[in-house]
Amino acid sequence: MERLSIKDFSAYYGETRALGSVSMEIPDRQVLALIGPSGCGKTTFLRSLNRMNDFVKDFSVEGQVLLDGQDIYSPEMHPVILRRRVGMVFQKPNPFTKSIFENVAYGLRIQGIRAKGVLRDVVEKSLQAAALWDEVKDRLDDSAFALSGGQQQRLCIARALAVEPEVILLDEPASALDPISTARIEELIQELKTRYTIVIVTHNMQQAARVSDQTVFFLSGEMVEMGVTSKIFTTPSDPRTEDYITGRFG
Amino acid sequence: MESTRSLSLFRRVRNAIFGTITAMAFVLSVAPLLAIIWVSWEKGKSALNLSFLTTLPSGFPVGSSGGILNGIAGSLVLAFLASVLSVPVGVWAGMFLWEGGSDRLPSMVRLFSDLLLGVPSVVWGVVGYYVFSTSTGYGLHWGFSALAGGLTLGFIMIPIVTRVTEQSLRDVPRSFIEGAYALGATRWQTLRGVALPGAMAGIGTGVLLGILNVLGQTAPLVFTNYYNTGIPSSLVGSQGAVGDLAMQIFIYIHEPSPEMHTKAMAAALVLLAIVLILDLGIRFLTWGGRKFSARR
Amino acid sequence: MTQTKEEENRNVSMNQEEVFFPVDDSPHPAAAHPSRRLVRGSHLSREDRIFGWTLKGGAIFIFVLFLIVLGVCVITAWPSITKFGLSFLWSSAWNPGRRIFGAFPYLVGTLWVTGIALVVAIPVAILSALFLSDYVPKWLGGVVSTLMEMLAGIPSIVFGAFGIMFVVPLLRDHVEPFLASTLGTHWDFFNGDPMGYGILAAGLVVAFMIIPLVATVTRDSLLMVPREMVEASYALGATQVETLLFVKLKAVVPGIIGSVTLGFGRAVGETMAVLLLVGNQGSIPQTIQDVGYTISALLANTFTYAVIDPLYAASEVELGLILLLITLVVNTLGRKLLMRLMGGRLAGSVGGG
Repeated sequence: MERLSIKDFSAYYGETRALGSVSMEIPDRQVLALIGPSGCGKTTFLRSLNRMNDFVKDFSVEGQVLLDGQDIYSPEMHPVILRRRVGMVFQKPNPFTKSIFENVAYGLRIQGIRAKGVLRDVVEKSLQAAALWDEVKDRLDDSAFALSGGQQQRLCIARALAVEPEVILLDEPASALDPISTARIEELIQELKTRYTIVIVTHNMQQAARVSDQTVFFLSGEMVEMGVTSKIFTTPSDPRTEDYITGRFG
Repeated sequence: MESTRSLSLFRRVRNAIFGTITAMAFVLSVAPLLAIIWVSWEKGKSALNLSFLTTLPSGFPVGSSGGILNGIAGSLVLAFLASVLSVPVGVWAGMFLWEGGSDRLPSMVRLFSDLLLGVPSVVWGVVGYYVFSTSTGYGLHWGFSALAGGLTLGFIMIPIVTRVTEQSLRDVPRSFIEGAYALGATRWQTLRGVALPGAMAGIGTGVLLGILNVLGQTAPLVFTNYYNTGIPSSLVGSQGAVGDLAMQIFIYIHEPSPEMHTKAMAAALVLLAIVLILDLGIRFLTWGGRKFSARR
Repeated sequence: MTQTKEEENRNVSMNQEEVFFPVDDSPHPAAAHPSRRLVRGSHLSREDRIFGWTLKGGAIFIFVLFLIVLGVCVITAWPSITKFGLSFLWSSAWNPGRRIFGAFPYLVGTLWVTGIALVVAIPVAILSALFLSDYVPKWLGGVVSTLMEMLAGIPSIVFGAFGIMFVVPLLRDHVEPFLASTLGTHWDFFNGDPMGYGILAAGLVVAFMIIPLVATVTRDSLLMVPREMVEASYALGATQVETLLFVKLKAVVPGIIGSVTLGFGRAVGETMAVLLLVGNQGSIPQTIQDVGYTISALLANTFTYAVIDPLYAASEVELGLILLLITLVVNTLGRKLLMRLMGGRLAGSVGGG
């Protein structure tokens, strides 16, 4: 069963093609890792999945990205609604200058949900799902900046979970964190995939191997190869993939 | 060290001399600040006491006895009126410039806003006169009044607030904005919920700087408000003019009497104190704020 | 996909500084490729569309304000413009009683005061900027910059009062007699009567007022010189002064011209300090000790009497219009030069009151 289905998708900045003819099926409740050297288009691809590239001047696309069969670039698909269905966590933790509680509740407040009880329930559930609840339950009104970097990133994950997305996009979520925090995020990804479809961009090959079920390798804006992670990392079919994962370039 | 490896004496001396020259130039350029404070203090201190701040001018020529309460109160009224006009409009336009980025329309608005920053104060005075004060032709026919003066000062403040608002919004980290969009916030929700709160401190500072600027403006008031030795009974019309600290200094220093000059310098000292203390306070606040936000 | 009106109106481009790929300048690259869809901005919901239009109101206000400033000046100056034509600029007659008006003495007076101010301010300001950017010890840096910026915040009227109490007596009793007895023995230009008041006093005080502006803008552009460039010079064994003079100053020439241009724009419109110090006589200064009259001082002094006679008022507004046009041109130029150098982060300057 496919959650996201990408058909012959290309992306352009002005006349420059950043991403060419990508086609893939992203299955439900699995982790898909996007790997490749810097500037290969993997982040452009990730940000195309919830239209965060709309803010870039002269950005244009070709082909289709279907979410549950509906084209996300069609006029009927409102990007604001899309982003509520496809959540995103960024490279650097980016909590708002609000309390821990308000950070998680923000996504609900902007949807007009005001009921105290509902907010409290969702905040607790989301923080639990992000494995942060036990650490912060006694100080929900503290500033989010009182948390450590790793905790901040889990808070951002909780914030994304609170709006109940179907897909979660992770853009190198652990690159700014220490090894212990990284391990916790990776554990968390394993737990989350039982309920969500996850797409993660990572520079860290071991991380891709550890957390993902499938892996895609991008090079110079082209999708070189996609397959089951264990196969990609042991017997890739394309020599360029092999060169990259064995560290011969990139 | 061998002589060929060490810096030649000439080059070392030249370096030192040049450093000294720049330091002397700097001393020369800030000397007026210290001289102004010193001269105002020396010439004005004998008139300075509490009742100088709390009484209206009296005697003949008016002001030879009494204080500058009319000027202090009037300056506050004018600054308030100027803010009432300029803060909403300036923040509004600043939000537009932030939203619009580098597109053509915002770039033009930015250019016009910057050009308005450079309009000479007498021209503002002429414009204010024909828009608010004139009693003939088009215009609002408010006479020389607090409202006419205050709104003219508001015109001057608008581009200041616009620029500061845009800059403060731009200083809100990009990651906050993206975080809000990624949660499905609309543009309005992102601006109201994330960008504006993040920029609030900067905008507040900018408004205070704008107020400081208009507190020192005299020329536009010559055209729109002039002066009042008492407290006005209305904001418009022939009874509507207010006193103003800067105008008061101007009028007193024009009088050919040493007592009035002493009063003028005492009033200048009060205006300086208001401006410099507020200025330092703002600096201290932004400095503290920057330290706080470094944790982002 | 066809371009809809909506798509054309999307103008969210907040990411302009973060475009990772070279961006083509053509307005709608997607238009040439029918299969491509230009996606810019999330402008689709009704709320966001209303929001976008509402924001435009702020922009319209700025336009309207600019039009009001220009419109009021042109319309009210019109009788004078049509009556005197270009000869307004070089006629010296200014006789309200006979309704003849010529701008020449005021233009000359304005240029004299501005010129003296710039001659004094430019070297001092640029050297101070070098001190602030390169020579000041770190621990002192914040304090001295603050002093400089506080000086910029002192009201014009206080400068004027200070000028009357301090600068005028100093010039009258010491500086001007000294100039007359030294330089004045060779050039008549320096051999005037020492009065204290005059273009020299006004120019000097205006110089004090624009030094902080010119110095801080120059300092900011000096600080923008890429470190690599400076380090390359040091690595070649250059001393501090050699690096400064041969590398840094060269790199910021546009910045210096820009800051001087802004200083000119500010000096030319300076009003209250000049009004108190320049002497206010519409004659052409023959010596540096002479009195004069500037456009801004004339307007602040006489405009409220002038409005009794429409032609008198129109002539004064035409002077104001000339002043406005000078500052608009000068500020546009200065802004262009500095924008290229430091993009966006340009210190604002307000015409002095």
